Amino acid sequence: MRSRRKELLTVAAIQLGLAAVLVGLWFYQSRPGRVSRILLPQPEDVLAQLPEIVREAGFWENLRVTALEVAGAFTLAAIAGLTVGLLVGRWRPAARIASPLLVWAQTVPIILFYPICILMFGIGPMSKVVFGGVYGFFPVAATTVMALTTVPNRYLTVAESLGANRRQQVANVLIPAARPLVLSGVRIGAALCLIGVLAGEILGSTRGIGYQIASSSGGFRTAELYAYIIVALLLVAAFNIAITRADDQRAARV
Amino acid sequence: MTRTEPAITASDVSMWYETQRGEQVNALDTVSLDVRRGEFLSLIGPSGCGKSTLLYIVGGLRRQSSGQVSLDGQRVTGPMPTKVGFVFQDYTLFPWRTIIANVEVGLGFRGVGRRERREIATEKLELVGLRGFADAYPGELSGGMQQRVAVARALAMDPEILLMDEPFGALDEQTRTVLGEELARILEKTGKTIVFVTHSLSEAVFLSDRVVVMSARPGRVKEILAVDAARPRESGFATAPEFTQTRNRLFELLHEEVRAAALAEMQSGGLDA
Repeated sequence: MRSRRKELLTVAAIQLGLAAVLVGLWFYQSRPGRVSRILLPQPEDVLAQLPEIVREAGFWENLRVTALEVAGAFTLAAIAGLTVGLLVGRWRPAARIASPLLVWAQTVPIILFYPICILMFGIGPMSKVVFGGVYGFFPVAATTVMALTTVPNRYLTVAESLGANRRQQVANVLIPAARPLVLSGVRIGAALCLIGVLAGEILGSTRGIGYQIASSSGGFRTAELYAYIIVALLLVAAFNIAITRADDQRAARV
Repeated sequence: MTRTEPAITASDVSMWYETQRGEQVNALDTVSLDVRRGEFLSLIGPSGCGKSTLLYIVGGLRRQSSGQVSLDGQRVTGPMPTKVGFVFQDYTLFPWRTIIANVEVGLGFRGVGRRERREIATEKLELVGLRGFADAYPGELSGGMQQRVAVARALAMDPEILLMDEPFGALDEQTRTVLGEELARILEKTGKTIVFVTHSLSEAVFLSDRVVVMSARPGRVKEILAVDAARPRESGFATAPEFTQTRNRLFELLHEEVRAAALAEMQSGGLDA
């Protein structure tokens, strides 16, 4: 028990040490006479920028827009992915046709279709919701199909012998048996929704954290750019924690 | 329906199917069998002789190619959960449900209310001696305990017939013996009709009223041996001369068939074992 704790402490110490080395490098390289401040701002300037951008007029509105886009994209990906996955995965012939397609679709650089998305849904939040949603849809659908088709047959046989009708087999056997794998698909889908929304904002938008990142980069306001990146990372962390929490709570009830 | 009528009647049941490679397999060939009410009947035979298939057909989980099976004179066309209970070989408890919820599951399918479900399930868990594990998950129990839960799950539906497909097949010899004795104790109380598929000759002799020896594929009834020893049978029965005699006779009968099966398998390259 004690050695296990010691091991965890050692691991944490090394991780912290690595982070410290990175920050140290940043400090060192951003001193005058080294890397240009236009490329690499000084950490203390970035830190000073943070309260500045928070105080800016549009900050909370931009954060709200991005958060809503991510929430919308995730809702879309989860609902569409689970529905398609459930419909396809329950029927083996359909699963055999669809699951390679769903897996291949994940290797397609969906970003290529973003310009079409802007044409269809405009430069506003809707194109980000749709784009992020499409990004997240494929892993959710693919893992749901896989989860449903790999449920051991013996569970279904047992249910049948105990008199379960088709609906009861789905609700009481297929879904609970598939749940762990489905949830991991949802988690991957959530991460991709975030990437999709932020990438969409950076490539073309008028509001949102991604828009601010693109705009400060374009204006060579590098310290501000770094500060917005930190804000985006905090948003990602908050979103991931929320997803993991929901996941753990569900897992605890299983 | 008179009480002397057999609980299970199989007449000329045959089963054939095509493998994925397009070969025709004759699994069962005109099997006819009567099982008396309250009887404990074992099926033994070489691997692949169709004894499990026969069990699935009797329980309505598979459809025979020809012939027919009746329970109390009523033709089997599909699962009859309140009449026939199954205990399977693999571990089939749902790992996402607690033990008590596993025992209740069939009652839930039937629409039995929550309180009644719990009451019945608790009683059956008590019967198999696992009441204290109601809130555990299957993964926390040993293989033998899990199979006892599976027995409780089948009994919760109060079926007249219990079909058991090598329920202790995955367990070690000692656990298997103890569980067998316990099963005999439990089932004598419930008075169910039981068909029991096993590989273990000792298990078959110890538990059964009659043992059906099946031939190598295609499975036929080769011989039926009666075990007349009185019940309840104590563990001492396993060393009685009568036990040994029956067991040896079974061994001889089975040995011929296993040889035949092994030869056939070698000739076909052993690919469809």
